[in-house]
Amino acid sequence: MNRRNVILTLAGVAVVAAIIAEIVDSSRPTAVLILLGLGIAITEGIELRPSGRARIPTSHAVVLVLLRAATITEFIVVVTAAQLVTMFLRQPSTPWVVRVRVFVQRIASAMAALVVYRTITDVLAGRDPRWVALLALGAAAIAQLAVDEISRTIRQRDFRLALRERGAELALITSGMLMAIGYRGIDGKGGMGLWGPLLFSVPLLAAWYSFEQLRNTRLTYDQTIRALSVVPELGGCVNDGHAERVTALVMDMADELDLTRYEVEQLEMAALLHHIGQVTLDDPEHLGRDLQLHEIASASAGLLRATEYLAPAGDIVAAVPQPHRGGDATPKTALASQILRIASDFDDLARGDRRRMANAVETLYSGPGYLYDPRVLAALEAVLRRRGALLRARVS
Amino acid sequence: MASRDSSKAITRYCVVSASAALVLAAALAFRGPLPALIPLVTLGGLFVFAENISVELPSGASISASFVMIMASVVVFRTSDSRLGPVAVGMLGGLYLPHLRALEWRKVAMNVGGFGLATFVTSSFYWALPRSVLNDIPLLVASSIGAAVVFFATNVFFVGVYYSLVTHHRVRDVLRDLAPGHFQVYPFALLGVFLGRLYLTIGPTIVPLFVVPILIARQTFASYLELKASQEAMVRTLIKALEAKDPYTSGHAERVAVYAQYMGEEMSFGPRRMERLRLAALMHDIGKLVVPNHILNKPGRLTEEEFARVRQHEHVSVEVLRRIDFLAPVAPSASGDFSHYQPDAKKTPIEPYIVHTADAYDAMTSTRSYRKALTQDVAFEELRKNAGKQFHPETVTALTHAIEKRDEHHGAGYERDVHDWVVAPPEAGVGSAGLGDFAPEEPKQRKRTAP
Repeated sequence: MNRRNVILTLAGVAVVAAIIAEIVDSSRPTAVLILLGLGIAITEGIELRPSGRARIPTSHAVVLVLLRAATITEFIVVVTAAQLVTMFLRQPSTPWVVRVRVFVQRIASAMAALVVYRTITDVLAGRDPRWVALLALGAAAIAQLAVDEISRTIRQRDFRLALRERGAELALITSGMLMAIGYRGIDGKGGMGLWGPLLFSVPLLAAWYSFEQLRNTRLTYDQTIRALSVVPELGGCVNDGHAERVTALVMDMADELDLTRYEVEQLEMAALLHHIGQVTLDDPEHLGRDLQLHEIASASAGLLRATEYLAPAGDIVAAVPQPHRGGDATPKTALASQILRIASDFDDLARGDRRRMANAVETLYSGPGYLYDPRVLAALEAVLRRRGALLRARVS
Repeated sequence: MASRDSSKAITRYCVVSASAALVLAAALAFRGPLPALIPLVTLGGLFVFAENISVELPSGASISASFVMIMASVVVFRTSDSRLGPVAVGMLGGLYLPHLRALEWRKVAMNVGGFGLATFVTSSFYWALPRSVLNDIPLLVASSIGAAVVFFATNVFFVGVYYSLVTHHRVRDVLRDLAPGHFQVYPFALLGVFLGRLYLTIGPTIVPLFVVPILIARQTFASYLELKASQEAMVRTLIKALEAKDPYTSGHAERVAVYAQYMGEEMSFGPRRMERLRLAALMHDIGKLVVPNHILNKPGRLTEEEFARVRQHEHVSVEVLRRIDFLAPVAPSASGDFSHYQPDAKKTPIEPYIVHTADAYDAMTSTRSYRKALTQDVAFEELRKNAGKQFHPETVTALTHAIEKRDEHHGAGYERDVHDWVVAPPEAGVGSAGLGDFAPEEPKQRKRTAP
């Protein structure tokens, strides 16, 4: 039986078990607990995947509903059972170490939510039940995400905490709260049973769908740009691997020079496509070096500027032939274009050969003072030294 | 004169609709209790907000969660018996910023009337049900679906009459075009009714919990559409660059993409598969960017070396498509060798054959530097003659059927994107997609095949 059929069979068994439990003893919420457990297992596979960020399972929202539907013991049993089932049903390619780690992480986040929720509801008992419920649910949702974040931080040894662009987390917190309130209402009023979480999961599913579409399109878009970046190489216009090497270098140099995330993104596009215009020129080899540089930059910039999203990258490419002093580009564009020019010129000299790199750096340093920005040259040197490509200090 | 009459009729219709809604609102204000201010401001404000942040899809349709607020207001104002409440919320539908900015008062009036009256009819339907419906969940679900049908039918009628006056189409035809949009109202109706029910328990605090994920979804979806449009623009820019190198193939990629889509439709491709086919067809010649201009535009025969440079473009195109996961399965579309029909290759996807057939058909029905366009009949005959040999038979049937069904004509006498020739191409010539025997063969020189 394949994985899909196993999941469908288990879902069927859970639904039948819920029906039997309801028939046997409708005074106990066993059927609801079984269905919520099934909900946790299913939504483990529905993850919000914001760009450049860790995945967030939508099961966290169902856990909030379970907090309001179960006693402490029932909560622990349902979460553990659902996560055990999920651990066995993950993609066959997922290593067991990862499965166990995720299982432990999920149990930990659910327990954190339980402790936070119970503590707040106990401490604030007797206050306005609306605010107590909202506060406890919100804090429980944040507790789950905090456990995920701590786990990621320890795993990746990346202790930076970014608070911006947390739309996916916000969607999960608010939807989870809405689903949980929809289930039981407030103070016994307004509850809709399982209809509540089922219906109020729609905004969360809409967010999930949008994130999926955006992710897939971004993936295709990035791959399209990378694929097009090799066209000049396949046509024999530039050295093999030039675009890829220059891009890797400018990314490191941008990091060295503290460019913002947006500037780095645009610089990456510019680096990948800075030679694309060359294929539209007929026989640019007959032009002199400077004229060739201008023609290629102008043709590439023209193509990039025709697309709104790539227009800033086009501006960077257009400014590449300009010397670092006396150009008409804005300071930010001038810096980005200097990074690109120095990385590209360096790669033309070194061609990816580590033995040539020290000489290539020396050649760039010995160029006319107006041509290359000393700050950017220093950044190049620092990056190469960090990579181990430059073993000794530069002789000045 | 006729257009002035038509314009007057549109104005009259919009004014009557808006006046009817205003008179109704005034009557409700006199006869019943006035709506509570907080829900009116909250739900009305959100309705206007939702209307103004609707997302326009590439198909031209738009998605908006505004109907959720209409249904929520119907439920919320039921408890206070204020019939004016939902009608007032509905009439705020006229506050659509693009219409206000462009001073399109007729559209503003039409929306005030259309939304106001449709909301009144919907609330009347809901009011007719017993109050206990709020506590009976299955009945609440059923009633919200009924209310959605009532709202949609009323609103579409008002909009349909307006568009019928604007476009001079029959109302029935306009309604038939608008009808498929009803699917999105059912989940929105359910959400609205349940949101209204929760609002009655918790108050306006519940609103942000509902609105925030919708806003995030909306913003993310808009980013997705923007990125998708950007990708499309980038591909088209490169195709334009290619056509600037080789003006003889102006419009070729676009036409091949259209023919490929015709075949995809005939073969009932799903949206994702269709998108993959369209992009592959659009990019099938992208590798020509690396072929020097003077070779692409050479009117006569190509030397062995030049021919090798031209053939290099297929390798580059395949390599580009192969590097994009979404297009990798159809990468052979860009290779003349791989897309040449092979009856034994059962597991090969049909897309490369589709692009090959579309490519050959367009090559035959377009004037190139080496020969003038053939007629559609000759092109069809050639495709049919080589079906099962050079071309996949299903693709030939699909293409000829799709073009005949549309009553389209291509080829000699029907060409668009016609180029101004420096040297007029010959009537017939080498590389006419299988018609190469029109010209005498020279020893040790290979024929140039249609791209």
